[in-house]
Amino acid sequence: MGRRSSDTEEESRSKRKKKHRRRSSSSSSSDSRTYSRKKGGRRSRSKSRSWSRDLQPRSHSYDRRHRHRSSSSSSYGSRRKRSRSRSRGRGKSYRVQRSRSKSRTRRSDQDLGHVPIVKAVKGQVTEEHVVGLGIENDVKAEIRRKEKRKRIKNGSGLSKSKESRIGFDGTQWRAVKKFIMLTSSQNVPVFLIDPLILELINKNFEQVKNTSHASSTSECKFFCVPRDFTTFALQYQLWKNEEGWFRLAENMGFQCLKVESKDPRLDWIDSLSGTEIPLHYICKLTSHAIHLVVFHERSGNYLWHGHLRLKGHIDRKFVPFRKLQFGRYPGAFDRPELQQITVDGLDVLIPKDPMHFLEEIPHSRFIECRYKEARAFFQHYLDDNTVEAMTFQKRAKELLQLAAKTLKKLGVRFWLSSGTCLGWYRQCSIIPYSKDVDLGIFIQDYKSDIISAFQDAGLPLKHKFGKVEDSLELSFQGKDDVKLDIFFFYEETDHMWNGGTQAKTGKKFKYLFPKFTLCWTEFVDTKFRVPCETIEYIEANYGKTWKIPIKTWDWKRSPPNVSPNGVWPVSEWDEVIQLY
Amino acid sequence: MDDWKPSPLIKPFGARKKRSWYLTWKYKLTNQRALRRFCQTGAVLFLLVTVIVNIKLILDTRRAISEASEDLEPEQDYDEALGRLEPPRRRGSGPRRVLDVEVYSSRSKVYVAVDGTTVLEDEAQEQGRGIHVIVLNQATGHVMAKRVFDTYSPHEDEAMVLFLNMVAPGRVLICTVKDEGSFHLKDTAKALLRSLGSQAGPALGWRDTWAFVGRKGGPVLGEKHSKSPALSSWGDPVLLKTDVPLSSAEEAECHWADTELNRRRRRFCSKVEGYGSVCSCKDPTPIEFSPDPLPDNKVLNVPVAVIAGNRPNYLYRMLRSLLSAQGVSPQMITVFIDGYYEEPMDVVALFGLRGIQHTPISIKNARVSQHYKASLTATFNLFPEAKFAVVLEEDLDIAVDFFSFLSQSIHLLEEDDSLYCISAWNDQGYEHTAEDPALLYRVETMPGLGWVLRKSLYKEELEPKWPTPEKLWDWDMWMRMPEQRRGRECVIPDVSRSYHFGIVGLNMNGYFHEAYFKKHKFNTVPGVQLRNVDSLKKDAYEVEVHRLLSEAEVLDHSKNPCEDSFLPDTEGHTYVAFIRMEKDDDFTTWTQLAKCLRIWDLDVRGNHRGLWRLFRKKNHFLVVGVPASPYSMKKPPSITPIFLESPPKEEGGPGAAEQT
Repeated sequence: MGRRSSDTEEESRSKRKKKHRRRSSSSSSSDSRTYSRKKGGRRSRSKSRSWSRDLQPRSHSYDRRHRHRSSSSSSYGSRRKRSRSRSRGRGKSYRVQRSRSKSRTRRSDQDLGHVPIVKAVKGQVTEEHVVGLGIENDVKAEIRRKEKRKRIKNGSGLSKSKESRIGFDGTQWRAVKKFIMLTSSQNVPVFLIDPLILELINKNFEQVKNTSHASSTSECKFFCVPRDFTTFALQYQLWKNEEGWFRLAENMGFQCLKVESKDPRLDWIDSLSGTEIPLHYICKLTSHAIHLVVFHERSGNYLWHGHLRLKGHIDRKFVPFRKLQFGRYPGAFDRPELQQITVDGLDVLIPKDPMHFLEEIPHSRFIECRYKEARAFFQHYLDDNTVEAMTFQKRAKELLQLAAKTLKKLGVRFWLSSGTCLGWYRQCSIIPYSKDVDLGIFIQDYKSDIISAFQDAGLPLKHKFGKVEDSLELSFQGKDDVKLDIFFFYEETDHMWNGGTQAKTGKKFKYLFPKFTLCWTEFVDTKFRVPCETIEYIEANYGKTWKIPIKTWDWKRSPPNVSPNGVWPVSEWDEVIQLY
Repeated sequence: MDDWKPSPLIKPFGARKKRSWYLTWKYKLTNQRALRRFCQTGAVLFLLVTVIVNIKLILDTRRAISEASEDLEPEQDYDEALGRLEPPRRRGSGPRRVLDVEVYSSRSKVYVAVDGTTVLEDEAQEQGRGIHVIVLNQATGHVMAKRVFDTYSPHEDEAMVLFLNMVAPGRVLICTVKDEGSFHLKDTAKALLRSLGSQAGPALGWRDTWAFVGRKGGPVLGEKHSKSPALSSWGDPVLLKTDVPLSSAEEAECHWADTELNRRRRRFCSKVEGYGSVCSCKDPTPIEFSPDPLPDNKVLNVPVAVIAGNRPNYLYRMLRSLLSAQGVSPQMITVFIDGYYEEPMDVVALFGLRGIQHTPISIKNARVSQHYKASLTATFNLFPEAKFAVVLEEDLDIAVDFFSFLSQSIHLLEEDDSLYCISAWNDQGYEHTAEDPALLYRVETMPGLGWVLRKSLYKEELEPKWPTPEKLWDWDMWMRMPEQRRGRECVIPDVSRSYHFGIVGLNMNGYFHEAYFKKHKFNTVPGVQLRNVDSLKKDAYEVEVHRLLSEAEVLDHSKNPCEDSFLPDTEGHTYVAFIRMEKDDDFTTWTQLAKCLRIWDLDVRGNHRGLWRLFRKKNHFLVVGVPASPYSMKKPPSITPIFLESPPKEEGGPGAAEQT
């Protein structure tokens, strides 16, 4: 055992002391903590050996820490130091600390409270850094760590203590077990969405499926991998007795934090104010916390979860919020079908297609339409309520929905572009005097069967400009004179662009955009992607005055980001200018 | 400085004057060492004082923060929700233990002020006549209820007795009379006032002014009264000022078992009064009903929107009946409150439901209409998967088999495009005209009052062209217009599954209610099995109607249809009568007939292609409008359709409604 476990002991003791100061009445809960600790200790010791052999993913931060620290110092020790320094450096500005996290020092995972990183770190670094790191990094890191562990194991007393510490940490398994017991007894259908565990399960899927309840208990392979959180999710409308559940959780010894917010589904109707909806629960049992992400149903048949924003009075040290896998941004997911499996002796629900769910996570960030600004826009410019405008909007909406359905079936990523994107961003609706709907697709996502798929959906090809290698653009004829334009975007090192072609002259145009990533949003009761860096995208396309509606727009001259791009050689015209 | 005088010579030169003044001053000031030193010392002193004050301030804030954080400590302990559940209560340094209450009573104005805050002020003309009653929490001094009983009018004293009896013992009662409060103040009410310890209340006379403060079941804390000197004049205005000692919070609360439900109950009962046994200490009425679940409930996942205004007592009654209905799922219910009213929200919270407040837009009917639109839009936003929504209002009782009725019939809305809605309300279903709880009709009118709306109808047709706020339209009238309805029909039961109990409302008053709503039949039988539901589909219904008409016995058309003897004293027969109806919109005879049948006659309701179906004396009674109705062909050639003219020529039944 040695140093490490005593460290743990000491740390938790000091934690407990703190807690006692804060909450003198919680003697019962601290009792249960001691109890579970002992128990956890006993059972995990028997398993300690298997642990070192197995592939054990850890949280990325843990890994990073290891990379930067010498192997002789324990992670726990470092955490203690961190926590000390944190309390000392409390008054420091966030900027300083954040920039540190950017430079990936060992303190990167420091618990700074949950400050949206967007403000400090610009661009896509954020996305990758925070959301994406969930899985891929971990797998790589695992291998590295495994090797390292092998090295440590050979003849070092420390490695043994490490094993026992990890095995000792059965509190984690117990916390998960208690949580599952609690939810199943209350008929709360939570399902596991923890990326790390899902990844593990996915990899060992056959094995998981085949192991019976009894045999799987012999080894704790999934829930005992040390980490700070285990993440579950729940569809809110299936939760019958939230208050009662909450109380029960507390009685069972969980300390729970509930994060609420106003309901975005009521945002569009400016005059409504409702009761807040729960977004996240974080329930802590001794050193392990269960993060329960509350999914809400949205129009467009998808599930939405909110941003975990810590309000002023919330204790930022309650759990290391930075390490949470969900909640840094709001997110949108396809509604997963669920299946029941038994892992580590526990019956849990997981998405039927864990792989699909895992793939969604890094790209799940959701942005809400700017309803407030849209209302202001309509106060200024008034909505067009004429029959023609409403008919066009209805047709355009149907066309958009049809296009979304078709492209989704093909598995092609796309986003709202040009005027449709502007309409979404500026007024949360389709601009009634636009004549078509515009979508963007990355050229690397191009599939040759796009055209036939649209044809099958009743949208014949109207024209095709350019070719896959250069300036590709497709137009489909929707019903009732509404046209669907698909622009293909080409990525360069520092920008993106799409091309345009003038049919008469064969002139080529190029539209430049700053680099962007894709986010989800909701538009015309459907889930769509839009550029996350929307304002940059729109300003590139429409200039700083995009807020002012302009009815005459020349796509060759008006956009500020247009530039002539030569002329198609006449020999190629047959290929690059196809009109139907 | 005293010896300094401005040079008179410089005065006339305006432009130069300034500079020289400035220079002189500058000169004087820079040269007077004493002054300079004085200034320096002053500055230093000022600096010191500022520093001291600042330090003190910092220390104070520190202390305040640490105190506050000590207070907040249990809350900070991560269970935010728990902390929020408890009403804010500070032990130790409580607020003042005495309330200073002012009560004013006069002919044209009343007001009540508690600790200088006006909690009631009414000087509107032609309004607020009668006895105003305010209930204060004896521990906090918060206003828990505010009512006015127009005891000049009949039956209002009964309502007052009911209310006062519901107030928990120990509460502080404040009464004050505006204009006149004695005319219909009967003995029961006076006896109750006497039991409260009032001297003047029981003896309250015509146009007396009266102000009273007392504790329910406890001592009188102050009373003033002024007799009216003559029939034509009022008593002098009285102003009562008195101190009300506050009691401890423990005394003001009941000791219910510590459960989730009772926590909600406690929160509710510490805020509002006048809900009777729900706040009874000994035997509180339940707030959770857990009615039997419905087997194969097709409407379990259909959202329920309750449209409410500021009638919390109505809402309370409504939600009780709704939550007692079989097959209800509380998490599907959303209460939409038109305005930022607290009390309706408290009622919603008492039952643990979701409540949404709506900032009022526009006025009167248009306000209701906008509220409807926002509520419906929000409902479909909150439940994006829902294909339907149940729309209810706060002044409806809901039948025990309401959801069972919908569960059995909702597939019609999915399968039959010619349907506009399913409604739980039969406009013509009065106690004497409705009989069969298992029977359904198709009608061309939209009854509302508990109905099911199809999402596609709302999203694709109604929402985009919903009347804008400046159009002062009734939403239901608008929905009944041919442009919206487009020939579609609603399915209704013979015996209504909702009961309209609202007496106070925008388009409601006591007389109107008594005439048209009070005698409405309301199903109380649980689990009624509806008969032959699929015969309600468009084509099947025609077959059904033809069958009925073929079976029906033709009544004696020589008799006066308004006479009771028009229908024979049989049971279980089907009869048909033919009335004159020249065109599709000619309802002259029908309206007169409806009048003498004492059913809804204000506009035409419940017709299906010129056919009305109702019950008389337990017989099914069909009325066919000839020749406009396609069913006219069923008329035997010998029969002359009945023709009733509009009053005053008509005698007998017409006008009966007005006389009730």
